Amino acid sequence: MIRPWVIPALVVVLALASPLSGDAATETTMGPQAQESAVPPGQTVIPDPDQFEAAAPTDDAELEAQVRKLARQLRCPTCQALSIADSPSELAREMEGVIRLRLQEGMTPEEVRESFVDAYGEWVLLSPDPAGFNLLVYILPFAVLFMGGGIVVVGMRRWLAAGEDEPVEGVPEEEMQEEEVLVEQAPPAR
Amino acid sequence: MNTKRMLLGLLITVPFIALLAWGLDRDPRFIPSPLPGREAPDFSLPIMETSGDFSVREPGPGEVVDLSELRGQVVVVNFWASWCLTCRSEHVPLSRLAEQYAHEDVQFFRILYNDRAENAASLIDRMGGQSYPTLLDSRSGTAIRYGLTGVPETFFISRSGTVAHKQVGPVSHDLIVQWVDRLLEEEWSPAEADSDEASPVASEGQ
Repeated sequence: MIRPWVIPALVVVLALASPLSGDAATETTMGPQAQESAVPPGQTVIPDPDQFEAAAPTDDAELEAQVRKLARQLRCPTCQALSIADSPSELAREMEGVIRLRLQEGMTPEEVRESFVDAYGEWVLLSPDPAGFNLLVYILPFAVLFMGGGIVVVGMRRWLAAGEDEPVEGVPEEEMQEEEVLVEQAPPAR
Repeated sequence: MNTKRMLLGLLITVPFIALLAWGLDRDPRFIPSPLPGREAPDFSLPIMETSGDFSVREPGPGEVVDLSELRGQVVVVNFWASWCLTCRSEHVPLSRLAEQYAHEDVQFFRILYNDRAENAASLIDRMGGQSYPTLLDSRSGTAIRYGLTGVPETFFISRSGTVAHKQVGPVSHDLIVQWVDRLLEEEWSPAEADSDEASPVASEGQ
């Protein structure tokens, strides 16, 4: 007979192998993959030397420390598993530049953080605030660990108890019963 | 006893199986946007000049588009780049529909993301021009305010300035028509406008 704790164990194994942890492709792309040729002679474009140049790091150590601290808290939309401080993607560099600009404009670190949450949702926070539904993220692992541990302990106890009651191979049941009677009648050991 | 064990097993396994079933039809890399239903982030961006055909609106060089001045009009904003192959497939439906809706309260814009203006201009030229403006987003400030996760992404903005829908990935002719028609049918009072100006093009530079 299948032990009751075997089923949850199988489900956990299946959960770890599920597509939730996969790396499916999306329809959007973030980096130059096929750069086009330069503009033909005579083409007029608005000169924009600052175009796609992220705000460069400054000599202000305090500002740069704040930028790094915030960048470590925000998730890169391209890499997803990395913070924008760790991500090498173009978007992460631009987001870091936006953090710097917003701090330079006088926003507090909390306001900058909230401005990213406004645009990307709480998804952008690598560590969501432990409040409301988010509490599940913090509580659930411990709850599952506790439940799993309990199931394993109960299962082991029953398994051991069942093993003690089972007849020894090759010994007739009558002899086993006589031996049990003798053990019960024996004087206590000193 | 067996019934109790069975119930305990079900109590533990059913939530896990439900979680797996919920996750099976979801893209783990999809990022839900908080913007639909909220006011669209304002932008004031310069129009990129190209040699393409601007017959619909004929914006001049150096002019800017200010979203706050477009209250009362449905706005379709498409983020794109010339290096994005998927974005090219959107060129024809967006251009055709911009012409089709030219005499209605609808504005189409493309915002260039992480790309050089000259590359975009060259591509537009080779694709036969574009019937609506591409805007330049220096340092991707607007893209980040819109929570851009990649290109192409398209935002449908209602007359009152609310983000009605965000499309991740390419937009089709039918999807654009569906959203634009739906937003055109929505009632809107001019009193809701933040500005009396209805023109999308301001004469000042950014």
